[in-house]
Amino acid sequence: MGQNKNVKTKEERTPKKKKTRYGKRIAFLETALLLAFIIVIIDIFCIMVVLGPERLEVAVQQWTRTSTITANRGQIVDCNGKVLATTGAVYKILLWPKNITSGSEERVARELSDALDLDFDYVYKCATNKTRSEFVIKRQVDSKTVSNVRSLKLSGVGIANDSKRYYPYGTLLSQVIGFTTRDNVGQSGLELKYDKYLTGSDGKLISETDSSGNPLAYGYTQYEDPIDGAKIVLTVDQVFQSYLENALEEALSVNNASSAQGIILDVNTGAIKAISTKPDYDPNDPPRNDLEQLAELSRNRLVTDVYEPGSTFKILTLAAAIDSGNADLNSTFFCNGGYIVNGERIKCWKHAGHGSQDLTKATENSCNCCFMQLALRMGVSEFYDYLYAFGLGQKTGDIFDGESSGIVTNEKYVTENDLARIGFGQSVAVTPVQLAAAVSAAVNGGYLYSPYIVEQVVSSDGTVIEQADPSPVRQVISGETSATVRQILQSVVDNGTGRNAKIEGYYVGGKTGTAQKYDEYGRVSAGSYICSFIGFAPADDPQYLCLILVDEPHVGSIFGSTVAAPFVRRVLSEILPYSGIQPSHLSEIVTVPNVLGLTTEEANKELAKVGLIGFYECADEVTLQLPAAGETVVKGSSVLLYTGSDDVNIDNEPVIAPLMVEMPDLMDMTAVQAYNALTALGLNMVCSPEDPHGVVLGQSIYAGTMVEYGSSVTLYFGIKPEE
Amino acid sequence: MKDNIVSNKEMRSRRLRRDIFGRRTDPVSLPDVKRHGLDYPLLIAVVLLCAFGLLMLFSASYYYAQSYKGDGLYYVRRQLVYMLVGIGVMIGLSYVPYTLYSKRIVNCIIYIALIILLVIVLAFGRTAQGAQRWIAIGPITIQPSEFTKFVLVIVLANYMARNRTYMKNFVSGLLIPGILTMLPCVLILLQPNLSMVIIIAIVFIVMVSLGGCNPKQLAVCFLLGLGGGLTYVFLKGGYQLERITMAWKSWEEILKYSGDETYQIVQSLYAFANGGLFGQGLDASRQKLLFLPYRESDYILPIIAEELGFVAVLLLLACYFFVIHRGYRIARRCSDRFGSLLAAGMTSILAVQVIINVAVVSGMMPATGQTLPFISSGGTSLAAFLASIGIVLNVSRYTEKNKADRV
Repeated sequence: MGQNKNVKTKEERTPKKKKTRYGKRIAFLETALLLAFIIVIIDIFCIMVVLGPERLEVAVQQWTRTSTITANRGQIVDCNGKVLATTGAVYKILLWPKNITSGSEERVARELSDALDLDFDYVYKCATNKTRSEFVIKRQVDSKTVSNVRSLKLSGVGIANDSKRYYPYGTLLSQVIGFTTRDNVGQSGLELKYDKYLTGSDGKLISETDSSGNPLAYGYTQYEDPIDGAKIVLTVDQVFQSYLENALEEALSVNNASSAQGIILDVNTGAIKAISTKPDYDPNDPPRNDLEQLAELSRNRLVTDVYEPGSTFKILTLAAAIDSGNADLNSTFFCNGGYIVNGERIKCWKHAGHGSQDLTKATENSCNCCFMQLALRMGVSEFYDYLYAFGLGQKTGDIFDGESSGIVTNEKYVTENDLARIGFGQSVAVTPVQLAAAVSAAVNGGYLYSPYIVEQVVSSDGTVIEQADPSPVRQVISGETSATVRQILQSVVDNGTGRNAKIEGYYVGGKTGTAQKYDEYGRVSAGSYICSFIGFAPADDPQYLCLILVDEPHVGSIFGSTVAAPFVRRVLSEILPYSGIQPSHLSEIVTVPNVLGLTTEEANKELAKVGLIGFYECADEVTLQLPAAGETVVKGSSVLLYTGSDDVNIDNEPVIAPLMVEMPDLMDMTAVQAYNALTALGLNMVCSPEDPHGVVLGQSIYAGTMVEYGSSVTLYFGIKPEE
Repeated sequence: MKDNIVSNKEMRSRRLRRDIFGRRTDPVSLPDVKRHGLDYPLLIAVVLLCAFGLLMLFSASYYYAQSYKGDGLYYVRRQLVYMLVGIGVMIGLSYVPYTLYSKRIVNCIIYIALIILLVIVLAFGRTAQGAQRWIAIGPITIQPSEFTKFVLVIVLANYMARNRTYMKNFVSGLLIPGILTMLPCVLILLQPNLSMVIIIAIVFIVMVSLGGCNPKQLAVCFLLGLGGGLTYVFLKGGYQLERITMAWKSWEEILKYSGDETYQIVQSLYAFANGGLFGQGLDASRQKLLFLPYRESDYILPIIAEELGFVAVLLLLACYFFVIHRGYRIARRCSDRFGSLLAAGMTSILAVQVIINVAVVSGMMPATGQTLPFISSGGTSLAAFLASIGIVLNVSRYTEKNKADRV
């Protein structure tokens, strides 16, 4: 070792060797570094050119911020355009964690959670989560809370427009309309069924931002207009609906019943003018916490639930028997309190029997024996042909979700005894809507219509997307038969069990029904009845049909004639004058006097002089009258008097005072800033050009002008010239 | 001028000095050539790098400076001041005979001053991001560990030039240089600043290899040191371990992880990706809009890549390699061992730092906080590198013209 070292030192002293060895070491080092440079360059080539494009896709997402511009959910209106469901402007509170002044997260979370009544831990967690650019902290906040939050002047807290579904008439038509989730997604009823039309499509505002979410002054902005949801026009008339619902409320409480259901059909089209089940709920604030109760209250039971109709079903037996030639007005029937079928004695409701009676009398008496005989005369196949033709055992249409098709025992398995029972409405189950449609067909000249409730769906630009087609499904019975049925049913109201439905001045036809209820094992449930009455008017030229069911009434006398008929009478007596159908047999014609400007009391006196009755809700000065002065009407008609305090104008539109806001100064703002400023006030932005670059150079409405909430302002964008 | 050379000759003829072991040491003296002009290609390349750096610093820092400091030129102004001072120092130092740094008294003063500064940092330094690395003197903050590598190159070059005869010996060739290096390293490790220690270790290996130590002994020491270092890191765990493991994770794994360390590297890779072959154009970087952290200092290369593309990165690295090549060329042509080691050492620091910075920003290595020389913002680093080039330039004044006569 030592020798070796010695040799080397000697070598080092000789210049040439020494230079070479040291120089080689430097050259080696330089080569090694060159190699390192080449490796690094190859790596950079990979990440820039080879792998770059794929990674860039992720990067692009972080360079832009997409703000959603919520489309307004479409309205649901009645046949006169009265708004039954609409969307109101509220606000949502946003949190931008990256914009919170560093260190103040806790204070922001504390004050925000206090102001919004939220859990502090949740808000704090959001505020400190810097990986996301935006959190929606609370939705559907009213303007008062918003101004509170604004006054706190917290960093990283934003306010944006939000919407909430409002139902101006509260519980009215609630089972049909349904309700939405808190996010305005349809959850039940028409809100669910027509969700795709009502929703519309959200707009977008995509803007380039820096890492803190601040928009770039000269960044690229893309704006996509939201398309508001379509409007749904119903066949329902809000006035009909209120009359029906008031009557049902009263039927429910007077009879101490478990529920009351009712439907009004336009006999000649199948349009549902009113439909309701009581008790109901308020869709503005559905009991979301009690799902079972909510499901029960929001069920449209006239469509989903079947019941054994009882005597109201006799109308169909009657129509079938007459049409098939098995009976006419001269046929006579004998009732001794029961009828023996295949050795079984099926009792009539009047145990003493009705004796000998013609067809009209038997229907007036609602005699079971008569209808057993009618059913047996027709036989299974003929009777069933009529039942199916009337639409029994099948859904009426696809207007409601969860519709039941009713229960009709298959033709193959039906016995004589069953057939006899079906004749008077037992051993068969229908939905109220089915029955109403079938009876309409029996009295309107024989045409079966599918009941429908949506008249049309109109998109936000006015195009009609869907239009109801009220053409008959089929003719079930002949016009003559139908006329006979009408005559018999009018007699039922005039002289028979339906007397309680009689209305002064109008011809009304109808039929009572009292049916037993079955318990869950299929046994007759003692003391549980469904009382119903189906009535139509005018009996000689039917326009409207009203069916009311009272479920499990708890009063002394349980018959359709006492429990349900008075309410049908009430509804018909209210809707007939309203819809301009004049009393027919008070034929004295009078001219309507002008009562405008009078008090309701004076107006009533004026009207009484010529034999008219004034209808009004508040005692006040008359501002509008229907029909107008000078028109001729039948004596005894009613005149609707509108007073100043009624919120009804001639177009039947609720008067809403427009909310005025002050146009802000938007000059020099970027598209995103301007958008935020406008939406905070509930104004709409129209960009010119459509892909705005730069800043606002002009606005179509001057700053400081008072404009209506929801107005649009056009903004002209461009690059600001340097001063 | 002539007197100078004469006096050097006299120096040579004097009795050789002895080291602490009583051994005779080799002399350090200016080579026996007429002092000539400095290496202009090197000077021009460095000034070009600085100018390009200033432009890119402006582009990378403008948005942040304008938005948060209210002055778009905040970083550029500061950098320009340091740059002008630094270039002045560089040209000034190119006139100072490098033999000055071989004086024992100078060596002692700079080495002891370094140790004192490092102790001051530990005692009174400013803490930032979990480490105590800076001392503030008025408006200027300095990072003494930045100077360590330069000081060590001077001290080691001087030691190895004087003891070149004994370099194969373990004690002289590795142990004594090792101890000289370890002392500041321990102080830096306490800050803690592991990455700086690693860079110093690389510089140490380069220096002793050039100095002529026994390669086998060096290899054994290297393996022992590496083993010890890794044991230390694994036992200590924490963020240093996390950093190291992060460098070896796949892209998908990195995306899933949401720590600060990955955030930097992911953002850096986005910038590279957005650059492509020819870049988005000057000032068109998206990543500089606060997405990429340290965009004006450690991570300025991704911004350059994003704006000017792979081609520009290639040219930039070529320019760096040109500077490095000129540095080693000067080292090869200096007949004085001290001068040669000095030039090679300073050049190596530059080379190591460029490679480490590039490897870090491209995700090949864990983050270290090393700047890109001449381009990244950071006054002390810029001034120190310019000064080190000034020393190399002075050595270049004494190179042999004839290739055959090189060291």
